[in-house]
Amino acid sequence: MDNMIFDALSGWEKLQLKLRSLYMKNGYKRYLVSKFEEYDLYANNKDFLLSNRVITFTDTDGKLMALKPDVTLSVIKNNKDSLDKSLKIFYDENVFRISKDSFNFKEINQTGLEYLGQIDDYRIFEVMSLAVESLNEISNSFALNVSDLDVVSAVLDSAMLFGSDRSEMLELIRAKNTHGIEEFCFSRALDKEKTELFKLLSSVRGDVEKNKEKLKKLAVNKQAEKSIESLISIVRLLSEKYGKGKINVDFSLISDTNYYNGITFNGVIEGIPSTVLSGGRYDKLMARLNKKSGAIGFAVYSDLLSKLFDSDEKVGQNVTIIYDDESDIKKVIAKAEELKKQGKAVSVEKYSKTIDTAEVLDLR
Amino acid sequence: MLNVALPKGRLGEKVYDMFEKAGYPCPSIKENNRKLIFVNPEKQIRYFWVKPSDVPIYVERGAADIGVAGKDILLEYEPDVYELLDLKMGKCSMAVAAKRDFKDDPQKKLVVATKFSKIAKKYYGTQDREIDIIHLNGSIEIAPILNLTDVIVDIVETGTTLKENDLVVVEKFLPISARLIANKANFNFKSEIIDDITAKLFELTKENK
Repeated sequence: MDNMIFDALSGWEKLQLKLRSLYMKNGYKRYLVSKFEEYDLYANNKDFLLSNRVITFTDTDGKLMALKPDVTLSVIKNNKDSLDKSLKIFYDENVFRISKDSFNFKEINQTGLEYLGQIDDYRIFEVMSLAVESLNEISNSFALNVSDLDVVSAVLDSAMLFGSDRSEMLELIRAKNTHGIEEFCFSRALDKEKTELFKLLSSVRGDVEKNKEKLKKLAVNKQAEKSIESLISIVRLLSEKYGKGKINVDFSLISDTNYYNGITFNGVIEGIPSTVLSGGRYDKLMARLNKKSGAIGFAVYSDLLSKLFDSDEKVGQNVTIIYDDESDIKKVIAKAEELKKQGKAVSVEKYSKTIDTAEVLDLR
Repeated sequence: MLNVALPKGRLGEKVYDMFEKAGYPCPSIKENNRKLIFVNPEKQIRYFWVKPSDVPIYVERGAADIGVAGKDILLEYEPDVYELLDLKMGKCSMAVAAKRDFKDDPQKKLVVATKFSKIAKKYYGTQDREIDIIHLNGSIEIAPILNLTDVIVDIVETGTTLKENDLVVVEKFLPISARLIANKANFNFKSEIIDDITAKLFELTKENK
C-alpha cells in the first residue's frame, strides 16, 4: 500500500483492515448491514444483547425501529436457512449501544465473524483459530478462555438445580466464588460429591493437560463426556498452533444458555481490563429465530481498545509555511508543492500561534 | 506489579496485616503519613488506600488487579469481578431495624430508609410487599425517629448505634464480611501471584473466627 495512505490510517483503522484481510484469506465474505432494524427483533431477544437498552424511533410508516445495537441477529434473520449451504461472513459495522466504558449510549465499532451451517469439529477449530489470530493482531500478549456450556448444564442437571437455584449457582461459578458455592450446596443439602463438582467448575483453569484429571471428573454423563473430549481436543490443537499458556479452559465463562450452547470463548489482552472478544456456538438462538442450521461466531469490541491505539496519525514529516498579506502567493504555492513532492506534509498558516511542527519555513 | 486496592480505615489496616503475614509486606504503609500508594518492588506489589465503596470500581476497571471489599458493597454495586475468598473479617449483618414501639402492619405500604437500595429491594421483593425506599447516604438511624420512614435497612455490628438511638433490630437477614475480589481480565495475566495470595490468605482465615 502507498506509504502515505497507510500512514493516514489510525491504529484502529489499521487493525480493522488487518482483520478484514485475515477473514477474507479464510474464505469469509464481507456482509454489509443497514443502520436500522425492526425493534421487535431485539424486544424478543433482549438477553442476547450486551445491554438491553436500545435506541428506538418511529419510522414514517408508524413502525417502531431501532438503531442497531447488534449485527448477529440481523445476519440470522436475513439469511435464507438451508441445510446444505453455509454462510461464511464477517462484518465491520458501527452499532449503537451502551458502552462498557462510559455507561452512556455510544456508536461503537464491532467487527465480527459468523458461520451459519453445519457445525463440526473442523469448523469450531477454524472459527476459534480466527479468534486467536484476531487477538494476536491486537497484541501478542493475549489469552483465549474456552468453556463448554453443555458441561456446565450437565452438572447442574445432575444436581437437579433448576429455576432460581440454577441462576444462583451460575452466578457463583461466573464469579469463581468457591466459598459461596460451598455455602449454597450446604444450604440445599447437596452431597460432598456434587459440591466438589461445582467447586471444580469454578476453579478449573488453564492448560488442558494439567487439568485433564479434573476435567474427566466433570463428565457426569455420556453427553458431558463427549463434550469434554471435544473441548480437550480443540484446546489442545489451538495450544499446539498458538502456544501453551495462551489458550485456557475456564468454566466461569458462562453465556446465556437461552441463546448459547456448547463451546463458548472469550479473549483478553494484557492491559485492557475487560473482555475484547467474545464468541461461541449459538444454535439455540438460531432455533429461536426458526432456523435449522447451527451457528458459531465471535465479535471484537472496539470501545475498550482505544487505550492501545494512539491517535497519532502522521503522514510524512510535517512542516509549516508561514505567510502574511505581503507574501508572494505564487511563491507560497510553489514552495508548498515542492515540499509535498519531497514527501512532506505541509501546513500553510498565517497565524504563528497555531504552529505545532518542528520544521517551519517563514515566507513573510 | 500487582496492584491491590485496600479499603481505608480500621478494616483495611487489619486486611493489610493479613497480606503482610501472607508474605506480601510493604512496611512503608505503616508510616504515619498521608501517602496513598505504597510499593514493595521486591515482592512486585503495590498497595493503595481507597474509599471502601470505591474498591470494586478500581478492581472492575482494572486499576487494581485485586482488592478487598465488604459483601454489602458487592451486593449493592454488583461489579463484574471474581470473588475469590471470604476473609472472615469485618463481620457484621445487614438488618432491618425500627423504633422500639414500631408495629408493622402488612396491609400498609412500608417506608424504608437505606443506603443499600438494591439490597433492600431484593430483600422485600421476596416478600411480595409494597415498599417505598428512601435512599439516604448517612445517619440512617435518624429516619424512623423523625417518622420519615417506618424502618431502616442498614449494617449492624455490635448494635450499639441502634441502641443509643433507641432502635431495635427487627431481623438480621444477611451476614456480611470482607471479600477478596479480582479483575477478571487481569487475572489471566497475573494468576500465579493471585492464586498464591489467595491460598495464603485462605490459610490465615482459619485463624479468624
